[in-house]
Amino acid sequence: MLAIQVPRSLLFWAGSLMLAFWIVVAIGGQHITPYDPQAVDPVNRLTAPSRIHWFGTDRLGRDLFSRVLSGAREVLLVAPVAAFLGTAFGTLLGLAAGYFGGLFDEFLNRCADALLSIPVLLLGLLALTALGPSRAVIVAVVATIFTPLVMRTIRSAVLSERGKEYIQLALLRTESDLSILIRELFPNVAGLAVTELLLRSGYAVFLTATLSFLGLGLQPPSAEWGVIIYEHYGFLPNGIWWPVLFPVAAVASLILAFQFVAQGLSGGQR
Amino acid sequence: MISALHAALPLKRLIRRSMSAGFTLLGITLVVFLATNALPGDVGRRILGPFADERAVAALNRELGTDRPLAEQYIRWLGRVLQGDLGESLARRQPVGEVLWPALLQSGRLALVILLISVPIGVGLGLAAALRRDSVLDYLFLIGTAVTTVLPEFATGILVILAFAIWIPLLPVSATAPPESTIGEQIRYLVLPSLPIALVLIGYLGRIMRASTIEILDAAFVRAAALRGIPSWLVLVRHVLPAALPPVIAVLANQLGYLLGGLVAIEVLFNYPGLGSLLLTAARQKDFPVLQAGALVIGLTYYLANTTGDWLFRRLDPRQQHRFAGS
Amino acid sequence: MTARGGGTPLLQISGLRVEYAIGGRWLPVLHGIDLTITEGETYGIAGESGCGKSTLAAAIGGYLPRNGRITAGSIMLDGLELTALERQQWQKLWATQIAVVLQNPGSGLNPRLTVEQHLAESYRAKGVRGDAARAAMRALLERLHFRQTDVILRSYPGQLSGGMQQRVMIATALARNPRLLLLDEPTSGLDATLARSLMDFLAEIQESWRTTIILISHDLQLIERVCDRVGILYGGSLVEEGDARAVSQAPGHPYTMSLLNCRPQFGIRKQQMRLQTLPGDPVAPWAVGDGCCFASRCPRAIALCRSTAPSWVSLGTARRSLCHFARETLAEAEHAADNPRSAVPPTSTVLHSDANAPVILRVEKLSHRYPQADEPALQDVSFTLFAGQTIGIMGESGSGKSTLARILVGLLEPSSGRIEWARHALPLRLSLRSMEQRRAIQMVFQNPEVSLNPRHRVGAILKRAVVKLRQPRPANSEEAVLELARAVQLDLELLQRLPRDLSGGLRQRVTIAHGLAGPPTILVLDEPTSALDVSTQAAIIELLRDLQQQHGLSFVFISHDVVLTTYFSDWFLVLYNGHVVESGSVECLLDGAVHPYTAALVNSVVPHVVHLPEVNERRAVIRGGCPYQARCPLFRPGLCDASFPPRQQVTPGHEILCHLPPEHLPVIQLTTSATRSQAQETTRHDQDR
Repeated sequence: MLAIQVPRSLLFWAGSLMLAFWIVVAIGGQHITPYDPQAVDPVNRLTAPSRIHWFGTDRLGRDLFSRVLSGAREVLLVAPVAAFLGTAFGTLLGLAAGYFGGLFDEFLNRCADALLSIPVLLLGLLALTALGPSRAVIVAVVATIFTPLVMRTIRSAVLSERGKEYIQLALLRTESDLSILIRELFPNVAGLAVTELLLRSGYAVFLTATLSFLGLGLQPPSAEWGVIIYEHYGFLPNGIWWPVLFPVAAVASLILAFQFVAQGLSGGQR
Repeated sequence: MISALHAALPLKRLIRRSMSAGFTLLGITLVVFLATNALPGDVGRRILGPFADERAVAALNRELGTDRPLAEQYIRWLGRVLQGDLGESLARRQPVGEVLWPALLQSGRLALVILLISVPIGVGLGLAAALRRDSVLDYLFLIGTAVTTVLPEFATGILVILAFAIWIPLLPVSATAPPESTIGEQIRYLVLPSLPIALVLIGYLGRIMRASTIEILDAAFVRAAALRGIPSWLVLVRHVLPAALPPVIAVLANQLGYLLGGLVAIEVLFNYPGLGSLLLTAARQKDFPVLQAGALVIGLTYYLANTTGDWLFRRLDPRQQHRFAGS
Repeated sequence: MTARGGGTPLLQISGLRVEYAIGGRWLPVLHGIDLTITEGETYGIAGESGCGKSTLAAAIGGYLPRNGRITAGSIMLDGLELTALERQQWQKLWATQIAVVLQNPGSGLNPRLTVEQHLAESYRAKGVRGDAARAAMRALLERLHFRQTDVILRSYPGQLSGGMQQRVMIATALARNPRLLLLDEPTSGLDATLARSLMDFLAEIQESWRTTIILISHDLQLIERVCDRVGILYGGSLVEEGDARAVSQAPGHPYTMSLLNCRPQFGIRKQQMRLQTLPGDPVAPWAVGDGCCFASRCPRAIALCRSTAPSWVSLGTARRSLCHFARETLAEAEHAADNPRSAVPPTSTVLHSDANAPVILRVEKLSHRYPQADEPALQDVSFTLFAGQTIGIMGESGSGKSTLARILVGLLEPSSGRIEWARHALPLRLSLRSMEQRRAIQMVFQNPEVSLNPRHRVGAILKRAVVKLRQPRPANSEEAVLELARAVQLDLELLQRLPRDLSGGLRQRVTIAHGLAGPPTILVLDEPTSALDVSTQAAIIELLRDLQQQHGLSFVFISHDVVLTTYFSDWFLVLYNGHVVESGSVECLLDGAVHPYTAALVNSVVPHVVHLPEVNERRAVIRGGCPYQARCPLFRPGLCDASFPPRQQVTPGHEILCHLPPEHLPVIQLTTSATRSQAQETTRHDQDR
């Protein structure tokens, strides 16, 4: 019933490849890293990249390459889950608000406005301070922030579809509201929801990394990339770049991967 | 006949808008309050830690008023805020205002430099990309902005530090110039920290400018102007720009709030004593009054900036300006 | 018999070929166009969408899009070769010699600049500035019969009426005193009366300005009225060329003939003839095969036509046709023109609007005001629909027709009013209606682009309709779907496709099939053919006629198209700003007094059939007076603005909302086609226009 076409754009495939890479790495976990990411080696602290340690070692002598690889699992356990929850709720609310309108819609809009009036990072900061850093809290916070964002996008798509005659045609053949939402509206909005999901996943990686960087998110000794950067950015002025650059590259690559897949799916640039 | 009706309508609309604005503002205060207070356990215990004496905790709770029901706490807090009393910082034992104000100024300076860099470059690049649609420049622009707008600021910040301060020692890593430096020196110190956010803003502004310009370039009246034989540069300046700029201005207003809040990561990375790093420190120290006040200030600024942006956009729409006179 | 032109050639096009890059490939859009336009004449280029006429205009005017290119041939403007010009050179040409006005001229005005600023640009290009320019502007506007020129100069486009905007735009074109004025579909998208006033304006310009005009339009009747000569395009080629009136009266090419025959002449009823329908859709220029471009749809086509491309056949002075059977076609056309159209034996048993038929729908005093609207959309609309018959609801945009349609099917709940179906009160909200009631009244929408869910296959959409609407639920819904498809002559294999794979005409058939699923007793058709090509319109109209015949359906036919509505309907109703200004049987409309607005509507598409004085400006509307007082050509101060007009019964069943007695009302007089063409020849340049 749903017509799906696989895009042929370079962007889509580049992004998918990168994404697949990180997913495989995350699944592999410690089984594919050359060293044990937790193995401390005080003698070889902060050594530059070499043939033994491709990415060098960190401040506790742990192999950075292994830590960066295992960090993928930390990120992918949190970010996509939060993104999925946020997108799912946001889509449901957006469908309902856009279709039913009225006071319900007004109310949801005002709530969304209030929630989105505070910069995302700040909300995260406040919430995590109050509730303490833990994986569940991070997921909950990020999902809560995403819901109004997605809701807005889906809602406006629903509003523009709702005016179209095929919806009225469905009403004329006595379809129920629920049937219209599911059968008529959702397929036309689903593509957008998928794109949102991918974009939000990228944004979730962004948020978790930043929160970790600020010391509010996941905590050491987690190998999440933001945490590694948090532990080592103070060393930058001393020219110790490797414990910072490689995690940054990892974060960038994952976020861009999500972005490219999303753009490739939605037909490219505007 | 029509004029009487038109006179009545704006008043109704104004009331409606004020009410919904009030509702939203109230919502902001509620969100801020809840985010810092709605949780199990008590505030005093969290501040003093698990090993503190029971009576000390109780005393602190009484002092802070956190032993009262939540709703009452909210009303009291709101009441004090509306009177201008933001409370006292728990960590520094100073009125919150005194702590907040200098930090706000510092962030403001940084924001100013960011704007000075990003607005001309962003708008200019976006315009150039739109005029040379589908060219190499355009393609590079789109890819480049796609990258800069999604990377975390701290990531871009680190790359920027590595590029311009460590590997090529061009700019100082610290953001605070030594005291008694000239304005020029001070600005030089601020350049590096401005870059990450400026790059993001250039991305946003540039893309909006590009999209807006492309839309206007396809508009009937622009085509008609070109077909009148007017030289291209004149078409651009007289017809395209005045129509393409308003959405960009609106976006800019919306971004002002982001600037203030999003500076957190940058201020931490560069060790800059602005509002963002103040809030982070307050978070670590569990200094709730400062946290609440700071979040409130940012939330309000954000909201005001957004509303101004929307208002500006509507005002600059020619259809609103010149109503059809007569029937 | 060209009064103008017949002089030096101004524009010479030879062997022009143009290609567009579509989906990565270069596809031909114009196949070798040859034509010559003489100085001072008005030349029309006609054809349906996709035939290449806009491309031709763009090539002449120098505004081909970036994905278009001229691959061969030349365009000479008085010795200057246009095909090789650079952008700079085109700018000079646009400023001084060629003025281009695009679709809906009013939209070409910058909403942020005043009229004076617009005109100043045109004058500056000629080196005239400041006070000299302002004086010239005033003179120009006065010459174009604008009044209160100073006020207009200071106004912004948003402060001017639609008609005024059109004229200001053309004024900016004329300010440059161009040698060539190119108008690309100037009236498409405009209301009938607005289009008419624009064309009248053009006619005035032809008189006083001596500019050579090229007019591009899909509307042959428009071209016939305004142009001296016409060139017909199909599939990227010129297929016929000649004097505009001669070609319209007696075409020499089967395509031109079908274009004319698929529109009814005003006054002809559906009982008298069938519209000519062509199979398929207009062919894309790049899909044309070896032989004649029209061979795939031509009723005369034989093997020769498909294998060999025809060459030009001269049919008289300055008249030619690209057809193997040009002379035969011309002969047939001339024969048909001399003799009245042979009456097809009445296909329906209803010869005249039968007021004795049972009443199937009674609408009483429907009114509706949208929230936050200044004016009500509908006021006191009442009518009766008889079983098996069609009522045509005519009006321009903003008249309330779509609101009425939605109220009838229950999608919108009116502020007040009553509907009776099968002698029972019909609940006004769809959710309150019984299944039987919902099934009985269905709707066909205007826009085939959005009437069907783009994500569902056509067969699935029809299946849902069958499943939800038929009672008792059919045992085999697949079979029912096939039956519906056959009823609307839809190719069965198309049921597996998505809507985007179907053309507009085919999608419209699906929408009709959807409406038939019930089966219904009443179909509300909201502009069912407005978004379609002329040749496709005819096919849909004839399909509807057959369906009505076979199933005894009653139709509410809503349209802005006066000619089509009077052809197809038995009864009619005219809406203006939500008021019913006239209603009755179509016979009364065609023979006797009518409301001034009805007359204006008819006049805008069929001149010479009713006599109306000219209206140059809008008056202020005084509350409580006649709704039409602002634009009525028969306005009487003190009467029309004083009170709401009474509903007069001019003849039994025929009501007109007007203060004036019937003797003072305009009268529509139909003449036979022969006398009409004679009348047109002699009144071609009379001052009345």
